[in-house]
Amino acid sequence: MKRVVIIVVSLILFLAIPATVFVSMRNQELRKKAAPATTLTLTPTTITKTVNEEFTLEARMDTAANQIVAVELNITFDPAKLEAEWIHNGTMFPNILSSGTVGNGTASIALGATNTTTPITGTGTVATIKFKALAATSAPIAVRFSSDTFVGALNEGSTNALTSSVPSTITITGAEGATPTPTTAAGITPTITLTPTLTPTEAASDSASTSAVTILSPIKNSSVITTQPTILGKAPAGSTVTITVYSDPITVTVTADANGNWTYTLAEPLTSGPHTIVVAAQDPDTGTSHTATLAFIVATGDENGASGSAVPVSGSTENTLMLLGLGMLFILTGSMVPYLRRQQS
Amino acid sequence: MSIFMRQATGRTTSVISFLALLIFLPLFIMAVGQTITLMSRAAGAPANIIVDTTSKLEVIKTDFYHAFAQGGEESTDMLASITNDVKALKPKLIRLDHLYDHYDVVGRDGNGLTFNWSKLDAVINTVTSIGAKPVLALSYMPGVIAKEGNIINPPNDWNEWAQVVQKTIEHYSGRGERNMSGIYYEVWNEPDLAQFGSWKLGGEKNYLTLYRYAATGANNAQNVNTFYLGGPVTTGLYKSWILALVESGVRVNFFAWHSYLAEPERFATDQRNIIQWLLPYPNYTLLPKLITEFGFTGSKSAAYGSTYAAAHATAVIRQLISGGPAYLFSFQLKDGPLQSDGTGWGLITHDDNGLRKKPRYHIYNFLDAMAGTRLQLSGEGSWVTGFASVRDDISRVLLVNFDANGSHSEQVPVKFTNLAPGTYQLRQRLLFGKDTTTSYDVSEGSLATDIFLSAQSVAILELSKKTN
Repeated sequence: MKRVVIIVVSLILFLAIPATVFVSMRNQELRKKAAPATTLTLTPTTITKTVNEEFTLEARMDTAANQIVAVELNITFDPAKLEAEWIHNGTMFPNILSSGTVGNGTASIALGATNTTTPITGTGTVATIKFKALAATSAPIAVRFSSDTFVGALNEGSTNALTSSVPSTITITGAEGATPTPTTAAGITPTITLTPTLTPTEAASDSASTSAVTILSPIKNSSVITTQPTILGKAPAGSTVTITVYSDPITVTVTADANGNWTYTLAEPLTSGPHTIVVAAQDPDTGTSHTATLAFIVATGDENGASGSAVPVSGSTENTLMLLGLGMLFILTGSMVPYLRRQQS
Repeated sequence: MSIFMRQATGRTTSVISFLALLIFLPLFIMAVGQTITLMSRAAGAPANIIVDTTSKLEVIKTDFYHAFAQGGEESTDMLASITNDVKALKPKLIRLDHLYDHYDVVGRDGNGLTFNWSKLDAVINTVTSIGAKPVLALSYMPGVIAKEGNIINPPNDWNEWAQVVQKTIEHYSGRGERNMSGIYYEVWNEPDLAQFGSWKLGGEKNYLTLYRYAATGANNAQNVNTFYLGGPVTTGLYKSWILALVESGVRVNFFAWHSYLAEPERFATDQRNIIQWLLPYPNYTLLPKLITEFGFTGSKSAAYGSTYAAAHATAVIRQLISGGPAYLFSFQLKDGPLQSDGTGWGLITHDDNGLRKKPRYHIYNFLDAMAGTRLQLSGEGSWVTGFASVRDDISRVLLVNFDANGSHSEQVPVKFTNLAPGTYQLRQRLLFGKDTTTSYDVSEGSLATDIFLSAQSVAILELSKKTN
């Protein structure tokens, strides 16, 4: 009889855990759909610098319909490649709630409105961060908002009003003293267009053509753990590169730099599952068009995890882990009972 | 023992060993962490200060540290004998506690509670004559309403406590009475301390109940000017107390706590922490934060009479100069009696010890020279910290060498960058030392100098361009 009880309890636990996770995710989805979308963007979103060069990035906010009271910015980057020299408040928030601090791979500041009767709305610069390029990169690196970045808004309760964030992708070249060549003009975000100049189709071959266009990241048929992966590759220098991500589809254009490098980090999160990237570029010298196609998988169910975007979460990882742990404990205890009974008898 | 050993199987031993490992492994890791922390205190980085004279940031507020607390070591008007010395500190706020147990405010007759404000009014008059506003810590429980007459106990009737608070607010903030505006009322003083009642967040001595009835009294106050009610006024910044107050749903106009911390950086950490805790409560995030007592130790210490205390207070102010609290209250203005050994917390010694000014007394006006627009400063070290400002085309750098654990001294390089070519005058002023001025010709856009800072010293460097 006791064995039956144990089995029943175990089964309930096995059912309860996925159910909890499912409900949490559903709540999270509902929250995302219902709330106005406050976003943070690090600009320029794409930039190329040389070793030892100093530069600044701006953290810009679009509050959408939210009335923002306070924001805590937490920014992360690769400390082997970049050093943050300082972070200061921008013009959008007049009230420094806690002073800017920079550390090894981090920069943080908390800012607020003057009071709750004059909350912040609109778009503007929240903070400016000054960096120094320390070492050359073999592939572009990201400066991003960490998942604990929090935006507090009136009438949003304890929910993080931040729904998505856009990192800055930085390439550091080793040629000290060389003129930096940004892939896009400083301060200009790659434009999203619904009518790309070239219109590749999803039916394109799943391999790069004989062209000079290649997709270096993500890797073909690989899984990425972020919903906003950085897509980067090579194309003829100076060419306009049209990137289309299916099956939504999302289409953007960027410009390859003098070395032929191009990169773009998706501004909008992708859903979990398989996706296809089609990249097309026209050689500015010959006029020849080239395409490359690549399939990859977004393998994340937790949008508050490795993506770096501070998507509000209704459920919590901690609770789920605690439940899982409890479940395991129950199962372990249950499985020991017959053994202990045998020992006693 | 031998029986256990005989009966223990190998499997039992394994289980016990595993459990022991589970328990002791975190303790071992914690011990290693503590050891590393202790060892790292001996080492540190020297400062290499660089000031960008063109990188202007926010306007520096100097009012926030012109706030002072006076403890109740005597049940008299302790400030009466030092009004001129206190006035010279240009205080904005002066905090008082022991309102109800030192000044015979609350009594009882056949009709209920009676109130006599004459003694407390005399003390408040001294505060206002100095040019400051009082901050009133609603403490402790009037003996006539307290259980067993004990001033750190709850009242026999909570409604009487609410009435005491209401009458206090009506007296000082009331338009028909003292007519003061913008008064901060703190609910109790250090409720978590055994000396002041060891109040908890539950049980019979529940601080939330104490606060809730105080809020009821505050809300019942009639015909009053704007005033602020806050808490929890604990001995440190505690998340559980702050959030309990937030989640209690009662009136909270500001948060107050005390900080006795030897490490100045901890004050900045506290600021970051409270903001993080309050971010999910948007209606509370922006409320004023008041550190209504601060120092490097809550115990009496001879160091309060030395440059150690002056350097510590300066280093704390440096940590809070940007993104700090609304007010930072130095504790305290005057020593209590019988402290001729110099261990009192006061900025000024007691009447029985000559009313002498201690080193810490002198920092507040010295620091006021830094008023202006903050400049970007980098290169602070483990001991030497500072900030920079510009006002009337004069760039200034405040440097403080505070060593919490020893007597570290340092030759500090200081570089001003982005200067226009010309001749400059650099004045070096030590808080307790030399005041020198040197001329420099600048042609390459920067000026490099250095300054020797002995242990626990404070200095300001002023750089101005000669007009001809």
